[in-house]
Amino acid sequence: MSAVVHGPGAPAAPAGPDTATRAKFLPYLLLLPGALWLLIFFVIPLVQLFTVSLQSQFPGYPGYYYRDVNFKNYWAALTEFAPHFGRSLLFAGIATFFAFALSYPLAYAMAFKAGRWRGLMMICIIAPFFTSFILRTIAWRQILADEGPVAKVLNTLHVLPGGHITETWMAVVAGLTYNFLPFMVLPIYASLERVDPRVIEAGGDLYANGFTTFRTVTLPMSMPGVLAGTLLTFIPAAGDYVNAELLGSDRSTKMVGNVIESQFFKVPGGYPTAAALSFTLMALILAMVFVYVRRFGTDELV
Amino acid sequence: MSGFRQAQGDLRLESVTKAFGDFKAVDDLSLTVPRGSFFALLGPSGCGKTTTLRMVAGLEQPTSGRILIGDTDLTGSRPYERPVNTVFQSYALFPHLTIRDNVAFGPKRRGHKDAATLADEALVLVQLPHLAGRKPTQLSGGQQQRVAVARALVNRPEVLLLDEPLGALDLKLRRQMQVELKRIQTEVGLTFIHVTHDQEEAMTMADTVAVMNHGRIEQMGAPARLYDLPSTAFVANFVGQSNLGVGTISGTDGDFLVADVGGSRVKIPRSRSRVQQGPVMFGVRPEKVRIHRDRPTGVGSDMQATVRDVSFTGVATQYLVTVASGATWSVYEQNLDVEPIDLHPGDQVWLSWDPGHAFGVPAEGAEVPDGPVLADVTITEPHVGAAPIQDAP
Amino acid sequence: MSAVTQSRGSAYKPSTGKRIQAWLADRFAMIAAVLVLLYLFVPVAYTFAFSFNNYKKSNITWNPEGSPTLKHWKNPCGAPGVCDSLVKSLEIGAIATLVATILGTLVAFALVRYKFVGRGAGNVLTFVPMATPEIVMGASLLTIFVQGFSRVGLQLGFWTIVIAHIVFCLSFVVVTVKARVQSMDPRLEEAAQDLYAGPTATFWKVTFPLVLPGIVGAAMLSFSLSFDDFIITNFVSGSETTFPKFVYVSYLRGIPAQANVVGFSMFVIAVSLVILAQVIGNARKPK
Ligand SMILES: Nc1ncnc2c1ncn2[C@@H]1O[C@H](COP(=O)(O)OP(=O)(O)O)[C@@H](O)[C@H]1O
Ligand SMILES: [Mg+2]
Repeated sequence: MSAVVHGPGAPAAPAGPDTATRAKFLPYLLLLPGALWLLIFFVIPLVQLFTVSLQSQFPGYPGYYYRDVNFKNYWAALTEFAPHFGRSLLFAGIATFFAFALSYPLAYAMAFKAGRWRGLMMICIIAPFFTSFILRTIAWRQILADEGPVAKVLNTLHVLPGGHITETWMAVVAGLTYNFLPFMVLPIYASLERVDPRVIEAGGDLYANGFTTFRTVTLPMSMPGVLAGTLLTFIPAAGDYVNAELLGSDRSTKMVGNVIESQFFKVPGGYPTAAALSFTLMALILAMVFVYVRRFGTDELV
Repeated sequence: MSGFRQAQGDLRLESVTKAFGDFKAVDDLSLTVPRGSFFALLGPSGCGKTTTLRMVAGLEQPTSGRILIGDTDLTGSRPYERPVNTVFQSYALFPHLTIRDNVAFGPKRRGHKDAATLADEALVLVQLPHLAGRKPTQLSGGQQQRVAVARALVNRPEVLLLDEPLGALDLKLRRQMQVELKRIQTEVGLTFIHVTHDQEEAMTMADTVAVMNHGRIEQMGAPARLYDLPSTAFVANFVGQSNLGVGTISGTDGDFLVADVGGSRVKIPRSRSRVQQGPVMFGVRPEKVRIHRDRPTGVGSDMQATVRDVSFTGVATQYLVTVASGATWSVYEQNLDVEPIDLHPGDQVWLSWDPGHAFGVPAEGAEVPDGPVLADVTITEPHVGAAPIQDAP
Repeated sequence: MSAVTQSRGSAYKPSTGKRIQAWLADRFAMIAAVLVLLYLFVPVAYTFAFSFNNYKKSNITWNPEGSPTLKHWKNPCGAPGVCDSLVKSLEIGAIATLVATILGTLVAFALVRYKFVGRGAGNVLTFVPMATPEIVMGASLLTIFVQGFSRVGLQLGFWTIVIAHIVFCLSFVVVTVKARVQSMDPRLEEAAQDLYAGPTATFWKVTFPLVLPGIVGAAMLSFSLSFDDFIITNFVSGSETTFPKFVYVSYLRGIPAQANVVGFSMFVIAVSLVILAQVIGNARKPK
């Protein structure tokens, strides 16, 4: 008991002038390389991207820009590409929901039921990364294709609206769900692993009903993991373009990511628009995350 | 290792205070632990025992005061510079090392070439040589406890600190380990400071017991002495239990003080009272009190009472009685008589005792911990199955 | 849970229906978990199957005429680009993992173990990259590489990919190692100090070995993320090709079955290496 009070990890800082100065500078020394790296290769690029998003075209010189404070790019991003933003958030939202529904039992089983199989299950979750996410997404395209097994079965049952899975939003959402599943499982597992099984047993004794125990004891205790997992799934899913590219159609399923990618690589002079789109996406995501964390959050995230 | 203090002698704490913010966990504490003695620090949870040990170990620095071994001032030195080792409350064995490597950890740090041999010898001392190759998680609680002792002992420290080392063990194992620890201490002859909140443990093991409360030492002495003559109401009830009553000293009678306690006149030997006039808290131990149907003659002190509860425990019978002042006393009668007196709740009885056993402690600021006397009232009620108290005639 | 409660009353014999229900309730999570794992493996199995496809033009549909063939397995580097890109991915993954693990571990220790001005900022700085969509990170890095770093001679290619991978791996390492350091019992370090270990010995003999599994886990995660990254890589790679990029680019022309061979082999190698490490670890543990 008392040890909890004696608390925070650091060994008792002994007196003495030399160690005092060292203890003062050491954390900065440890932090410095990593922080510098992130400053140079994360913060500064974002700032640079922001200035690009405000640039204007040089009249008469397509593909040339000058520094400006021009919000037209943002206006275009919000009006012309509003449907893409809508799809990004919607698809990512649905995929996050399904990923959660699939991940929770898996994480739960790993934490409480798997015993010595735990390590193996963990490997199984990460190992598909090594087959490459592009290869697996293309595999899904063939599996879900019109002549593939899934569509055939659903079509003989006449339950598939429109008769196709690929080239529709369904395939895109399925792909997003599949690809970001590990990012949901791992944090939930990490938080469940810390739950003492005896707490759950105690809950079982109190409520007898397994579901009540789960709802009142297990789920609340895993909330930090669920929160982290949903964010780690939603954010990359909202910015993804590979699934929409490989599984969706050319028109009705394009997401913001596709637009940014094509503005960058395919549309001449699209740089400022792409930058503005990127920032709008980031702002939207941060706003949603903020509201979400406020609603469900703990400060454990940061 | 440069700063290692090769100190020898008694452990002395001089006016040591440790404050966490405004709160004083240890308050102006001074004590001397003679070299080679088995010293117990006894007190309720949260009274500052662990904090005191941590200051001796160097894991915490006192806010003020000094800590010395012999003439060497250890204040301000780091844990690894002190000839002091600790058996932690939860053992804190290194989970990544084998038992042998755990025990050899200290000797290795001090550059002993034969650290492994020393470790094996220490494991023999705690009777676990066969488990040297295991990891801590493969051991039972009692075994882990012994390893923790071996890991500290192997260094032959000047002072060995044990922070509630038996707290996590079940009762039987605990008794067994108490004997074991005592044996080891006698064998190696080191100074042991044993922290516990179990008064029985402190009494059976230690040469000297210091009773601690609210960061201060209330009383220090040999176990028998503490029990026989507590100097505060807290000690009177924390070390064993006592029948207590607040009263006023009204006069003297030879070597005795006479006090008026809740309407009864009681006598306290002058030499056994911490106060000689004014308010006093009178006390007498339950086993020193006899119980009678009729008023006894020729005994020193007596008092009338009503039986509230009787519990038969085999060797003895414990009676809870209400005395005139309204307080509840308890009385242990050894079951010596062929025909035991058959008492029931509600019976009027007489209590008597030899006034030489009575003691007096200061009444003001007297703090009576939730002693077993009061707690027992509710616990023992169902034992007897007798009529509830209000129905008594 | 409910099954446990029921089985306590030994005299009570529930009906068969009840027993099946209880059995299912107890196993539900495990059954669901296995199904989800199988779901994770479906495209891996597909990739495996199509590595035997005796196709003529493209490896998209199964060629009903040709019987399954081992020829792609016999010559995995036969298709141009497959092995070159694989080697690049492995190299990038190794360098990025090494750097990110070292830097991230240092940062994690600083953030958990010390209270200092700027600690909050440090926490945010290491967390935000995880909350940034890859495409934004890729776009911003491309911008700065093209507009700034090319002037000092850093052209898009191998090293820009490494730099970018370190950025996102770093965040994951910090989070993973931080959790491990936080969950360590502080009394173990106190015990080490009590046993004459100075700060340096305490760190190397106790702290580091106990945090090491977290560091190894972080490194494995790092490598997996780097090896599989496509979006950021695609932005900053210039003409350099990693394995995922190779697959993506050759998708329109038709992916050679050798890519399936390599993809599936990497999966098997990853699984076997981890299992091997565990088995060795278990064997070294004294009984
Ligand atoms: N690091 C700390 N910060 C604040 N309060 C503390 C700290 N350590 C101990 N305390 C307080 O000091 C008191 C004594 O604690 P402790 O020495 O652990 O008691 P014991 O070991 O006798 O149970 C307790 O009230 C505890 O809450
Ligand atoms: Mg304590």
